[in-house]
Amino acid sequence: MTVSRREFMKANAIVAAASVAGVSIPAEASNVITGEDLTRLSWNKAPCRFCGTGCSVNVATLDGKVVATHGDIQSPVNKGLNCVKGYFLSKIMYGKDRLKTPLLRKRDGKYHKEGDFTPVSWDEAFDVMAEKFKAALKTKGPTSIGMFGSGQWTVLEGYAAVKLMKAGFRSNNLEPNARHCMASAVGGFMRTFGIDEPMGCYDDIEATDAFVLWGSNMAEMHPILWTRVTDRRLSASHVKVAVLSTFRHRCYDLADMDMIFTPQTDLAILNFIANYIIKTGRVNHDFVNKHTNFRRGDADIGYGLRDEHPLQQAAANPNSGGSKPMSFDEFAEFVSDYDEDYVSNLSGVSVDKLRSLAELYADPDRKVVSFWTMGVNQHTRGVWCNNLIYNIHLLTGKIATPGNSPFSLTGQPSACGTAREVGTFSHRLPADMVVANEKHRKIAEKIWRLPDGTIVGKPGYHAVLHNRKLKDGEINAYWVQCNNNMQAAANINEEAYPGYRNPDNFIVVSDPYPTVTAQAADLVLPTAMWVEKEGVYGNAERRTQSWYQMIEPPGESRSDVWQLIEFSKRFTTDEVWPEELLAKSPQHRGKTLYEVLFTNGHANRYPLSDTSPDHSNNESEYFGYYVQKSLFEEYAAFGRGQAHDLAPYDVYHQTRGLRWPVVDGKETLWRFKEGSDPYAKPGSDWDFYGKPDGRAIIFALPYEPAAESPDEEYDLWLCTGRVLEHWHSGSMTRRVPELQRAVPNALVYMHPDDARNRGLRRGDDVRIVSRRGEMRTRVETRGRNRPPEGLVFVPWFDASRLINKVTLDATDPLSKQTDYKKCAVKIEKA
Amino acid sequence: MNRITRLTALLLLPALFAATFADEIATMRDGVKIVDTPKPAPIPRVVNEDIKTQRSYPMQPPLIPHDTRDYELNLQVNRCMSCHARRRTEESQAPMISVTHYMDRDGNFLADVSPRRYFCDQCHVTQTVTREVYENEFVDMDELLQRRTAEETDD
Amino acid sequence: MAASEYHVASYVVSCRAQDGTEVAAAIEAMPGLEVHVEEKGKLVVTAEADDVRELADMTAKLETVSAVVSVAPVYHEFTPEG
Repeated sequence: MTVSRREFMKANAIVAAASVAGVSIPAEASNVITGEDLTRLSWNKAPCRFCGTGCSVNVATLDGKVVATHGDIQSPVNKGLNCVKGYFLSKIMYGKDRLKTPLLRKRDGKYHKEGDFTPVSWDEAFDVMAEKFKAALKTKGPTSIGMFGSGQWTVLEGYAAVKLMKAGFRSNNLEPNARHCMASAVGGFMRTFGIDEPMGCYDDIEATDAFVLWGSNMAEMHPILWTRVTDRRLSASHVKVAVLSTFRHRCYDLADMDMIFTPQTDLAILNFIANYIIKTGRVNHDFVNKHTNFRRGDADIGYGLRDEHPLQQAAANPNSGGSKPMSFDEFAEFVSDYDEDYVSNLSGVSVDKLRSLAELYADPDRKVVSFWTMGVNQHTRGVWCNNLIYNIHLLTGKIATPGNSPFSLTGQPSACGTAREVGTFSHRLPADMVVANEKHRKIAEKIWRLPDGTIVGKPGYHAVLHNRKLKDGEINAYWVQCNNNMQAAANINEEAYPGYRNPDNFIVVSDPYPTVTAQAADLVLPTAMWVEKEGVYGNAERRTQSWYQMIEPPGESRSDVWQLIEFSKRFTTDEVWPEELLAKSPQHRGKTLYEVLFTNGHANRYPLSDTSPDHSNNESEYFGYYVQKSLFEEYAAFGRGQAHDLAPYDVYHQTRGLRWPVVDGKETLWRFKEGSDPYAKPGSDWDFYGKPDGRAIIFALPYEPAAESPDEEYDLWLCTGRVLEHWHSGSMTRRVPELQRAVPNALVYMHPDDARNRGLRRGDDVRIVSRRGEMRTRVETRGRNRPPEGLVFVPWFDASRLINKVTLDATDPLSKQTDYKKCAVKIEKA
Repeated sequence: MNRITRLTALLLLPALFAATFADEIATMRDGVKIVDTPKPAPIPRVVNEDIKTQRSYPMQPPLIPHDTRDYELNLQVNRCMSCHARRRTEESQAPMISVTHYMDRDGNFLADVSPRRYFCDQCHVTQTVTREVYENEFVDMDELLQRRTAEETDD
Repeated sequence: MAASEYHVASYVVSCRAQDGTEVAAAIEAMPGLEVHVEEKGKLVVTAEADDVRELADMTAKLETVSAVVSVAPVYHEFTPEG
């Protein structure tokens, strides 16, 4: 029996009204077609593919295609809303140039670095790839291979990559693109609290009395959270919104207090607020005495540039995260240098505005939420900046209770769930553990059923170093999955591009679409995306969410996790482990990495019969066991009982996600607070259990200037970022006609006077030039972003306008995260 | 669209032959080498015809068919509502904001537009007349159903 | 004679929670109208008609049902049929 046109229209009508009314969709409407298996219009939930907000959507499929999505009314995150990108999710998989076969550069029928892309089979692709990886491992060892993964990988993909790289190949050169986005936040958490991830949750929005945005453009980058902020602000007149940035953007439309500050001076403003709190007698001494320690951090720590760079040579304590204990009085003295006149002069923010801002924190009767993302994290003193924001919440005790929340917002959909929690970093293991710690290595080796000493203790190369080492020919076999780093990494001309095209290197790129990174690669692998595979993501408020496979990936494309596991079949332990290791566990001799890592009886213990009868699961059908659940449950063992508890895998398919730690089926909303966090010891009130003594650290850290400020020749600050309509490098959103037509190209937003003084007008063709390279685009003087004089803003979503040729690869020396917000440029007519 | 069609055709050919010139793979750079700097297209104008376009599916927020330059949307002023609010529509003849905008977070109906919907531009966008558009093979559910009905009547 | 059409529309009808059952029954009794959900004073109702005038009549009648507080039209689609 097939559905008639009438029945289908009627079902649509019922679903639409039920959605509006907020009641559950009646069975008759959701089972529009009966008796037909693959062709029903079915609605399934999934997290949105885009930002770290982690909205949930319902996805409708018909005849094997996604035909519609709508905001999931049942999700507490977004309650039925999406942003414009989310509303077009149904189109992101259907760009016509979707990759469908592996492509290998060939000349005369063989692989050649300068050859043309030729369709090959998966077999041949993996043949060449295995040969190249084995050659590198044999000649130079595990430090000569690398993998660059993603905060948009599913949890399972990140976990499989960690096992393959760190346990299989024994290489710690695994990094995610999350290094470019959240590393400073992680550094901040570890330094202040000893454990990663926000202590509050989105519920803080509806409970607070003030919002302070530290350089984050939530209106465009976390739009649904912004709707919740707007809702709160417009529903309660006492609520105040303060927005700070280096240029005026859409968030200023809701601001009660608007401040534009000179780049990098956020550090000084934060110290001023600490000073103000102390001087006006509003320190919560009870809280501070019971729950904090003071430490003076090492200063003058360099800029993460190559060692030969003069700035690195000049640094007194390059890359040092060290600190010494200090007293409260010493701390008060340290911040007293940051008085209102000094800070006002330095930052360009008026004394009045500084005082009003500080008052939001100092007033003991006003709850305050601080929000930040890339302005603070993509910063050469990003870790310090995170520490300083925690300082002012700790001095006042405004932390870990509803409405009092220093909230580090995550950019990517699973930088929390995958990159950070699974530990896909050069120095990490799952659940906040590190390779440098022998106890941690032993825990991992035990769970993975591996001999002592499998995991290498020395951290590998971080993201920026990957490109430098590729250029220097020290990494020779490299696999990029689920990111567009040729477009995303700073300083393309000097480091990234020469690195990929170095004839000694073999570069593999897995992506659904032919990106700029694919253009620079030697082997391109077609990859399945989003609801073409079963997966799990984790959002900014620690909410883990899962989804089922809903449609087939096109052509021969396969998911990242399939690729990782299948590739592991090409290697045996004899080929990649040293004799000493093999001697310790002879039962591993001659086994493939597939057998050792993915089918060792423990890593594959959930059978195919556990998978959902109503959904396909290509990976599990192929490998013969429930891949996602098996990987997830093995991974969860790392965190359960360690304050990172995850619920059983199947539970996530039934809920709209749960915020960890999930203990006895209950999620945790506020961590470190007795009564809300099961790990906070009874009687502690607040228990910062990441630190051995349960106390968070208040750090004395100074203002230090940026790596490259404007000068006579390069007289403008360049700040880069995103726009609402496009996600990241635009590889998905620019292929949606409505989004592409909305904002087709990256423009340079500049102040009209800056334009006029350079003989420029709106719409002129210009060159943006730095010491490292240039980009051509058109001038915009009346766009959504209004920079002050002396600064320009360029978004990075445009493959034909690569602003990262211009940017500088200076990093925070502690987090190794690139500062994308500050370098010096000049603009001239093209 | 020629280059996309050509590239797609090449990519779909079986593994026996047809290599793609390396830089052609980069659809969104129009085949320009990474080291080169293409000339930027001029800023296209915003579509301002006031003609409603068909939505791809019922829940899609309609696109804005007119220019919104200098339309203020902030704490003090909501220019969009000066035409699209219920009490203004008779005079403006603009479409009223959908009833969904009158509901709060918990699904209760309000007398006026919910504050969570205040910033229209988070969901509704204008379009420009740019020619730089990449083909997308999304299929409208209506068409899928028509195909199916056609198949059945063929039996 | 005009070719026949098929119109379907849906509404969210509100009433006090305690009147829900009564309102549902009243609407069900009306030709062309169907109640699909009734939950704490919110009802999801569809109307089917052969032309737009008939549909408008049914909408008007819906508003006159005793104990109904509001009727919010949500969806309307029609197709010309042979």
